[in-house]
Amino acid sequence: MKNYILAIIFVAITSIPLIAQTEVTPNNFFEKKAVNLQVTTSNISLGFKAISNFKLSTELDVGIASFNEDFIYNDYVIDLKVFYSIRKKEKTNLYAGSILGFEFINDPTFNLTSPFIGAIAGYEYYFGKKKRSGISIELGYIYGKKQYSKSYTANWGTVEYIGTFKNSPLFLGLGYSYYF
Amino acid sequence: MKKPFLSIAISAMLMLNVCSCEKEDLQFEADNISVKVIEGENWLHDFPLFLGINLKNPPQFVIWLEDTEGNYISTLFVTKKIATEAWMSNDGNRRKEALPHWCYQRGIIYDDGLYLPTKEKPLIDGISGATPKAGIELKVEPAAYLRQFVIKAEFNHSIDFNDAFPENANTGDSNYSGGDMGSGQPALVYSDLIDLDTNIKEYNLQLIGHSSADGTNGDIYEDLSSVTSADRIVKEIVVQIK
Repeated sequence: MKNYILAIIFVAITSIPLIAQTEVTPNNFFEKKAVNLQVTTSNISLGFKAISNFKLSTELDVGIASFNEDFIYNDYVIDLKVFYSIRKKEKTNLYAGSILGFEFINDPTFNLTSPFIGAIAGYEYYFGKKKRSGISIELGYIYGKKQYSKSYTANWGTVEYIGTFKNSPLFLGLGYSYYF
Repeated sequence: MKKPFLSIAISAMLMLNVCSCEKEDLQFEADNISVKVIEGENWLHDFPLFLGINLKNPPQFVIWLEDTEGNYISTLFVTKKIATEAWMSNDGNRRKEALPHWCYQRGIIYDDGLYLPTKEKPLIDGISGATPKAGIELKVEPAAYLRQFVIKAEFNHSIDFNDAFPENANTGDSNYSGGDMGSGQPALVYSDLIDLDTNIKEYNLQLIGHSSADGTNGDIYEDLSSVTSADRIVKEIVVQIK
């Protein structure tokens, strides 16, 4: 429960810059919004992206994932990214920021919710009529680990084990965004 | 523009706090048994990915109990890839040469005629876990009737080839170990008899031999002269009676 409360606090805090630096009216708050499909080294996610007029953007992603060595996409991930545009031109955007989220790991004998944090840099290229489409590549470092305990009991006795789930540190993602 | 960075930094620190969980340890009581695997210098083994990039792979291994007559009692711990057939790009190779002594001692035959758990029927009689990057510790509480028993452990790396077990050995050769994605050096088996009715409080499992190189039987081969590096996957396996 502590994790979920902290996650809500996190979302609230990361929303402050977007809210605090502008007069909130429907016409000027966001420069662009987009839906985003991204394939990364561990998950396939759908996201909603909002780019503000102040070089900041946020992205909320929900996806299916393959964690914990089984190479089966039966896990889930939710993450929030906050980016700052380092160099933005008409057709390109070079950006960097942070990613934070939770992984929900399903295993035949246990379930685990594990938080993670990371730093990501990305490059997006806009194309099409009115530059409504964008393809992006993101590279970053992810940190996250959580201990879990497992036990098995039978008529001969009981065995217990404490294991550690650790994120793969490499984040590499390819994405497509449609802006509206 | 300072405010956004400040709030991102605060958020990052907050999440780091969430991510950096306190280390939890097994809690032992009197007569509990600790089984500790201490990794050796060859615990991690290079596995080629692409473009010359290697992945540091930990071994596949299993720890289990037998009675003093050599009958299988239960698996204590087995690595997840073996327990759930969670191999990546294995092209149907189930790696029967990985831990054959345990497979045959356990004696459960699956639909394809092999003694290995499948994706559809994963191992549930014991603990399975992601292959640890270092050694592990288990807590065992044997039932009151179980006073003498044997703890066995079997370890194996894939593509751990040497001159005695080369990659190019052919099926049917005595040193065939599963082909280009096979074992190379066969699995090694460690064992010791644990007697709770003595005053001995610590045991070190002894290396008793290697398993079948191609996984076609559950025999143990005591001649270890063809093993050149696999005997350093594990430094020691310590059993302590608390």
